[in-house]
Amino acid sequence: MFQEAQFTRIAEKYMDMIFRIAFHYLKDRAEADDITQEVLLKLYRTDKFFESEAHIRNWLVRVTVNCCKKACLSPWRKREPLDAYMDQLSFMTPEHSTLFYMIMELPRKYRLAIYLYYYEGYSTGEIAGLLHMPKATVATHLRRGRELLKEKLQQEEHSHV
Amino acid sequence: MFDSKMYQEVFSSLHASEDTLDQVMKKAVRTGKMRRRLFPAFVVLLTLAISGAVFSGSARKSHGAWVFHGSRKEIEKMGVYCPEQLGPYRIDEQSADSFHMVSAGAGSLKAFFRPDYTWMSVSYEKNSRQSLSLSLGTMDHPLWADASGYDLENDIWNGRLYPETLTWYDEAQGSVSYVDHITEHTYQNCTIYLYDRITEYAGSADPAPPLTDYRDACAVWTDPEIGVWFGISPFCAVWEMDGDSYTYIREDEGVTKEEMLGYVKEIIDGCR
Repeated sequence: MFQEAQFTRIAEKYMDMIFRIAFHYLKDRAEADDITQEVLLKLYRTDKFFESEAHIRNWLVRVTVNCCKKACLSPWRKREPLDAYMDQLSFMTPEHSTLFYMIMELPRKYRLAIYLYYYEGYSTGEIAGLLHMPKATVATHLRRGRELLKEKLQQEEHSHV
Repeated sequence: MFDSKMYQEVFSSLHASEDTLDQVMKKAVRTGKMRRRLFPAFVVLLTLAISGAVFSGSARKSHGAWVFHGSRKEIEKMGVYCPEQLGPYRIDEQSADSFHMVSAGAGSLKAFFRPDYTWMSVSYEKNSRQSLSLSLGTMDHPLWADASGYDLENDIWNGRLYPETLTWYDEAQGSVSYVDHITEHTYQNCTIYLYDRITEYAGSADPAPPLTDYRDACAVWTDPEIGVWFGISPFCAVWEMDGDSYTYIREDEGVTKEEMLGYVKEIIDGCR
């Protein structure tokens, strides 16, 4: 069990990661915030022995994904339009804003694999372990996600020509 | 080519709410304290609420068993008393000696009414681990039963005890389990978990002495033959409300583990 100071340090370090994973999964800020709180509360209460900080990080990823799956089963889901959230984010350029929108248009399984690979720096093998799926499936999700994204971005460019 | 640098720039602008950590600590403190302080009161409230529903003309004895014919609306009244504990559910089907309740997104629970059990309550809690509790009991017996044990990872009800979720918050020690000394027993193909529940009570003297930790033998088990998960714990106190807090005055010495195991066997035999 964590001491409060230790928990606070870990929570502050990983809460954005949890939020981003949840947001990639659920596409809703309020739900992602709820999941972030839920996961941190689980961390606070767990008696699990962690061998290292990498162990904690992996555990948080797994628990976050599980919580997101559970949240999707709820009949009470409310969703904020993505545009409403985008309006509150400050992107560096319009291209950044477009990329955000296009990523969120991808199927969930591709979004999640892309986030874990390109943002968190996990290898395909590690993602396979975290999401309990074959490594080849992760590689396929990444490849298919990239292809779809490329198609969408090209369509976006053509629509502006 | 995927521009990973641009991707990272985009998503680095996403942040959890600033008050996330405050909310987590508040929840940790609130649920911890409430669990310890409110548990008996919670049982009392639910029981009164639901026994009211049962006896308001909607329960009758049939084929030696209590049958509940409550409407959805009647059951929803329960939520008035403990709205946070009751979640979405629906009555799935009814039969002569049972009805089925299905909680949304979870497994099904079959609730039985027997002549010995004159009331029933159901609670549904959704926090760190979903749990559903079913209470069966008699009005003249200091035993209160509830079933718990939802395995989140495997999405099944299994009746097991999860001590890591049964905690209360102590300002000095942080999160502390109120479950101790778990032992396993087998009877009639049921695995029974006996444990000590540690509860803080005031004594019954006037003026009340300082709060003291008491240990009470409790049990949870699943009966695979009838598909019901049970838990029983002694109810040894009355509660007094003072503003937002409750104090429990202990009036009963509870039961020993041996006695508890005897009750469990009685219930298992009685339900088959």
